[in-house]
Amino acid sequence: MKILVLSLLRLGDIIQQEPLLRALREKYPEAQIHLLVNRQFAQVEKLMHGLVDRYIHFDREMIQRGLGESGFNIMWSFTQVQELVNSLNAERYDLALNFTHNKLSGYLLGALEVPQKKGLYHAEGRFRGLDNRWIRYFNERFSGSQKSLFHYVELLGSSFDLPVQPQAKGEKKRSKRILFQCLTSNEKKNWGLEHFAQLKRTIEVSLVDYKVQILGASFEKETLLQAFAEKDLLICDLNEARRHLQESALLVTGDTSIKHLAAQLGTPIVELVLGSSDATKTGAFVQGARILTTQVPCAPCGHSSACSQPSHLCAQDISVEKVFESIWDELSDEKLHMQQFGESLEKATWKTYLDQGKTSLLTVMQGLLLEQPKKGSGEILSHFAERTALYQQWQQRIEAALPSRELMSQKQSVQASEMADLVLVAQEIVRSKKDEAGYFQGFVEALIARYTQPVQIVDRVQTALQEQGELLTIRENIYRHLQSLSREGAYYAKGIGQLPISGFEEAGKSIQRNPENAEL
Amino acid sequence: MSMITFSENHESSLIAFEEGQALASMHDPRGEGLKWAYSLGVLPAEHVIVVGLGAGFHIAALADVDPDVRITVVESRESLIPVFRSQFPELEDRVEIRVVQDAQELFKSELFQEILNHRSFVLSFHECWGQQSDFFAELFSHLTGRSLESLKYHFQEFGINMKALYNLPRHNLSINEIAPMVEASTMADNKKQIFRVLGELVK
Repeated sequence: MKILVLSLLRLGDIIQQEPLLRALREKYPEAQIHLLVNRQFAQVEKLMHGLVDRYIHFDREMIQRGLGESGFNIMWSFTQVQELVNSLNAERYDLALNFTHNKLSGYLLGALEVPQKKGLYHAEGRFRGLDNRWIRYFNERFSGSQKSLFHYVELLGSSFDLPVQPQAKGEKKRSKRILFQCLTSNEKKNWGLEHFAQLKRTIEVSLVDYKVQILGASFEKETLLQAFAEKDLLICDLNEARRHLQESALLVTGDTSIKHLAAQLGTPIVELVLGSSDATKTGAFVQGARILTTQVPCAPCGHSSACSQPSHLCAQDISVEKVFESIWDELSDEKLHMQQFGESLEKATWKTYLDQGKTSLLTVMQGLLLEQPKKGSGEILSHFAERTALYQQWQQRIEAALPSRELMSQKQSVQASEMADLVLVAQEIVRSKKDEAGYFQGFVEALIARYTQPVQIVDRVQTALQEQGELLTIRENIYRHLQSLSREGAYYAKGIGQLPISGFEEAGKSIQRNPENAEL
Repeated sequence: MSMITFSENHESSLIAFEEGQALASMHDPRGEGLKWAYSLGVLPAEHVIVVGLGAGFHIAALADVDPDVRITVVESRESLIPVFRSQFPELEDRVEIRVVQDAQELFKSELFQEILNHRSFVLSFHECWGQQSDFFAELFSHLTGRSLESLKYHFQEFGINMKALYNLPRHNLSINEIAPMVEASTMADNKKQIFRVLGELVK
């Protein structure tokens, strides 16, 4: 079997997609996997050990040069792309996967003759692609204002039926070296060299046996020397950076390709998400990564727009003390905070729904039990139950306020006053800010969309109600199971439910405990 | 036809003049040629077309900078050729010179067919164009397919309705301006997809 993967993204994104390639390799261990990447990022070849059989380059820069410079024949770039298409067709791929979610790759995949295409491609005048709950969630969350509960890689993987888990954190290293990657590809994402310099001093004063070194590419050296001594710099290429990361206790970084490399290697990360960075899209995809986000209202800002604020507010919002606290927690193995367990409960609910029965409740519960903090989980569970009750109340109010389909199908137009009750519920949901996981996003969007016929509103709200109903049932189930487990735990703690050492009298000696087993 | 004369500079190199206008730097013709050749960066082809021979120093520089490249020069002023050949005899085998004095004649030439077949890379050195600037600019547009008149040749395999092109500017066309006509054509869909890819790259 021959598989082509299109990943026409930037360097960091390609490195970030490594778990997807790994999952693909596990799913098709015998297949020949070819990866199409932009030529300028050909250096990823050194970083994807054993996952890809052949790299194919899309010479984006040269093709763009051919389009823009008058000396190139107007058809030169066409010929280049055509030659690439012909060479790809000659490979006779059985399957092509487009991991790039943009029009360019969709058109390119559309031009290829591959019997099975997965992901975005253009055919017969329109874009086509995957059709499952995961990809719908992906599109809704990454195009709308509601944040995604899942990381971009996780969503993409599940959409392609290549389930991936965040990279497990590597074993705690004896190394006493902390690395900083201070500079990113965009000024807006930089925390500032003065902050990093201050953090370095704080670490060296407080954690005396640790040494801080600064990673950088050769073109960054001059800038880094403004804040650090030359002896502290590690100026290197990606391959050398990989080695340094493997030998370090921790990386403190902004949104960089080095961060994705560290995630791949399981190096612990403290990440500063600033400017246009979005932790759910480009955050480190690694278990237990400590991601510090800013609370300023303008973040995340647009990728290509300049910072609209008089000063770099998001960078100022994350203090040196806050970063140091995370470093301290990471180095001293502080467990996940309770808040993160709350998020895990929401994720478990959505994952069960999006997987459409592929993941059993048992698996979900196992995952949750592993993440459950030793203290405070009861508090989180009762908060979870309170929210479920509130959501059910909203659900009932929507059902009661929704006009019947028969009534609406007879109408040519509808007045806002006729939908007032529904609008009031929607307003309450939005104003309450208690639907953080977006259970009612579909309902709210149904009310603000445009329709040609009134009956369409009813249909769309009913679809949203159905989705919400399914999600709330899963929520209830998860809560019930966790609650019964915690009760069971409490009973055992009190000694209720334990077998007497001599067994129950009525059952005879057949279920008596074997003292040897008990010892074991 | 304009008057071509030659004058010897301080290095004993012959510099061509057209109606009194120098077709290369009098002071440092080699340096000027090398500067141009280096400014081109890596050439995307082994065979390039250069519009304008002039005094020929830029051609010699190009041949010097990229020893593997094969060069075809398009020139309208025949009297420049013998001086170039005598001044740069070592380029006899590497540089081919085609005389073109009429654009219509160009479309019928073997050279033009070769350009169509190979989508050849075309270079221009404006400093050597002298009084022929307008003509050479027109030739350059025709050879690169960026003139309205030449489009029908460059796009002949695609079945585009050429009448639809007549609203376009006459020169300096880009693929973006042709995209609507491509969409409306009967071209195979996989070829249209390639044009769409290119459209995304010029956004």
